Amino acid sequence: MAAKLATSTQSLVQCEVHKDAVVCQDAKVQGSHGIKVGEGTVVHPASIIHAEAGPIVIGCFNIIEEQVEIVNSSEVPLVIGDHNMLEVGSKVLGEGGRRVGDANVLECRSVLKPGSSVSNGCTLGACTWLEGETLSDETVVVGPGLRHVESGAKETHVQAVTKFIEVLKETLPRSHHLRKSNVKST
Amino acid sequence: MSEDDWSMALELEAPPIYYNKADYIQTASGNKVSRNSVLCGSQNITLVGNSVIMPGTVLRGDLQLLKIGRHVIVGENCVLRPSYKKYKGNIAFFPMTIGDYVTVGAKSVVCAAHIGSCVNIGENCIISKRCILKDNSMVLPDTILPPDTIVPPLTVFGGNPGVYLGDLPESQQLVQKQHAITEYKRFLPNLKSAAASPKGKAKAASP
Repeated sequence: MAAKLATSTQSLVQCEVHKDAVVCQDAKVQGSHGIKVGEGTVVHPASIIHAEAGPIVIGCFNIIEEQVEIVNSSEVPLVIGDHNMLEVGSKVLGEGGRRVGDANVLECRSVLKPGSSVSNGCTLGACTWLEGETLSDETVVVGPGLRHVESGAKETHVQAVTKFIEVLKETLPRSHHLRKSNVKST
Repeated sequence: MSEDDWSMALELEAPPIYYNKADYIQTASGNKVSRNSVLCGSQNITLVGNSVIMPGTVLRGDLQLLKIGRHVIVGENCVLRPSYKKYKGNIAFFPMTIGDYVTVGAKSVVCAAHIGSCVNIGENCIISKRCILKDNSMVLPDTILPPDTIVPPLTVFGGNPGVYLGDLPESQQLVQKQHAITEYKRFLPNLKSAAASPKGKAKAASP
């Protein structure tokens, strides 16, 4: 059944995967609009990337863990920057635009609801959510109404993510089939 | 807890939960693993026996060894993933061990380094990286344990962030053991009941 699903979605989705990206075949990449995955990005199995009404563009060196949901429900392309870490169960929902900047950490089950976005070097704590606001650079959200600024967070996030990707790039292909690009570059 | 004790005193068992036999794989050692669960790197996952893995659950054996003991009940949409630590400039994953008679509630995320025996983890919990849960401990539903938390034996942790809330009696070990065993026993395939009783009855019981 899984194999059948994979082939049916693959034929539908215009999925452009950079040759250095690691996208597991078990990740649910769906929707009728284009999905672009940049260099070095790692997409774990059981994550959902759904281009419902418009394309999704994922930058370089991101980590997208299992049960993450990225859904674009408008025609504007949803853009995710570089060096981001989306931990287990975090969600980016709603309209497109540049929703996630560079070097952010979305911890377990944090949610970016429609109309919200994070800029650079931010941390969204476990089980927190953002609705209708934009986080300024290097803000840490701990809980509802609890936040502070951590200077230099961007640097450390970039370093941590780069190291982590190196390890994942070795371990994941050992036990997973990887998704290849099905768009011919012209 | 007191409710459970009373039902046991009256010898009343919790009603059985029937599942569709085709949706689960049953191994010789009594493990029941849902076909809708995601097992990554299955050669690195050991289930000792009599464990139940519900649908939607993700077990990450591809990152490191994942050792799960006897009578472990893992609820729906859980994620069990080994944790990692930056060590001498490299990132190293730890093997994850789970003891016997452990129950994990639905939708929990468990990244612990070690979980002892007779541990009860509630629903919607987040057990962050490198946590250690000692034997006979309990984590209440909707708890978020911060990274590197150590939960001592016979204690209850809860809240956001998860903190110490109280102690448990020494009988907790037996209570949890009984709880895990009854949870396993009440999880039955509906084929048997369909064969024993008319089809309508089995259908009524299954949802």
